[in-house]
Amino acid sequence: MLVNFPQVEFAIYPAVIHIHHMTPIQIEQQAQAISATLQSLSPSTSFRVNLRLLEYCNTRFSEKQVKRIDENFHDYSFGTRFRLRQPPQNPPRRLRYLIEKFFSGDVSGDIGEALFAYFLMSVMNLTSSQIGHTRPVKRRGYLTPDFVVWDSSRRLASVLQKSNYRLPLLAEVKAFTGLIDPARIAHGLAQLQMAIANSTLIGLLFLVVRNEQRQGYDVYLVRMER
Amino acid sequence: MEYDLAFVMSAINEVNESVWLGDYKKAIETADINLETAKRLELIGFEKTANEIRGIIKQVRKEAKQEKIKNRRLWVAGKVSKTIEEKQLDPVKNLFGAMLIHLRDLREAIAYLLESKSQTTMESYGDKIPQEGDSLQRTDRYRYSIQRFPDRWEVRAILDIGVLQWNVGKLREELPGYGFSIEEVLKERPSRTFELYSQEMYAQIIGQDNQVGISIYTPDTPDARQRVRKIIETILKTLGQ
Repeated sequence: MLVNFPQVEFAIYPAVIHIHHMTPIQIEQQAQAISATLQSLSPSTSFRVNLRLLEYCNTRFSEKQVKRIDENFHDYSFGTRFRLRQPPQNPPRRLRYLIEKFFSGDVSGDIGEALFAYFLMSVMNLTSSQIGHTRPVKRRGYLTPDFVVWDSSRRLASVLQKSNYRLPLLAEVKAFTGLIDPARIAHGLAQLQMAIANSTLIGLLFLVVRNEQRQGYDVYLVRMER
Repeated sequence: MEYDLAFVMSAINEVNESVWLGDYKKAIETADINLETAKRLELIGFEKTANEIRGIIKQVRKEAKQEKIKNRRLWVAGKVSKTIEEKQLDPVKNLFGAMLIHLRDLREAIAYLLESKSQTTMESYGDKIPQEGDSLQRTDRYRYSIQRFPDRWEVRAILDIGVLQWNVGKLREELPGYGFSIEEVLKERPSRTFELYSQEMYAQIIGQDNQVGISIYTPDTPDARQRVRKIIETILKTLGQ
């Protein structure tokens, strides 16, 4: 029986970001500030991840066709990189053999999306029909976020720190197994800037970041309003 | 207005659920009902907003390319959001318009798949002729499909009740009849996960809302298919009692 459930820590970025009049430079600065602050935030809660259910979330909510996210989640959390075989001969001059595999951005992205769905269902108690993955429409050039969340019972009130909010909630998910890249955070902010323009909708940036010290993933929620 | 529109997202999820199960006819049926509702509610205008914003994005991206803007993505976002404000376009209409377009396209793609499947001759399947019993099974309480993988059998099912109403006590009574002992991995509010062990078999059951995924590892004996089917039907029937 599975007894070792990975633990994920969850923190809320304290400030609500008002994105309305932000210029590209200001968005970049904001992304830098988020990136610099994240790992000093103290977690507001933590949750155990049932890997079987995470795999279910992966098959139902992630964009890329990656299987066995449960096993990948385990390896990526620990930072386990597989070693490759090397020939006994030295490599030709100026060349080096590949000795360790690299983490895949697609797998990392899948972990992020599956974890977002897992968080909404297992921690916030939403049902799967309240979560819409709008990525296919986004790929075709329409303006949509990664996810639309129809939280009709206002179960996210505690994390949004608001009791009343307009639906749907629009979310972008970014995952980092290596270093946090502020440029990718800026892209997430920019996408939400467009998606919530001219409205009172709330944008959520869900950041999934591997914590080297803890050998596990931490998740951060950044709230955005116009 | 909020509740009027949530159905578009639920419809897409429902269609995806049926596709997950391999129930394409039901998927088309669901899409048709909801597209009809959208028509009745006169939501077609929302698609116009979605297409207008799509056109704006396309135009601004082109401009950014021509002007060789440095941080193109952020520049485009700034300009697009400004245009949306100026033109007073509604992002909710845009979103649901885009989702309606997606629902319609999804319906077309599934219909196309179904049509091409029905035109497939037995010859073109070659040695991949589906074995009897692989197709979708329906009762009034559940629908399920079985897929055979090299090392296991995978079952996808949709019950008429959610996980919270599962009769787990009954399941614990019935499964020892197949030599299984049951352990619950983690009980969480909207989901349940079980592992089943026997001398020769191993199985996992994962339930989320009204969906069930079952993996069964069993020796490849001539009666394996029959045995798997019997176990699945017992599980699904019992959970719904």
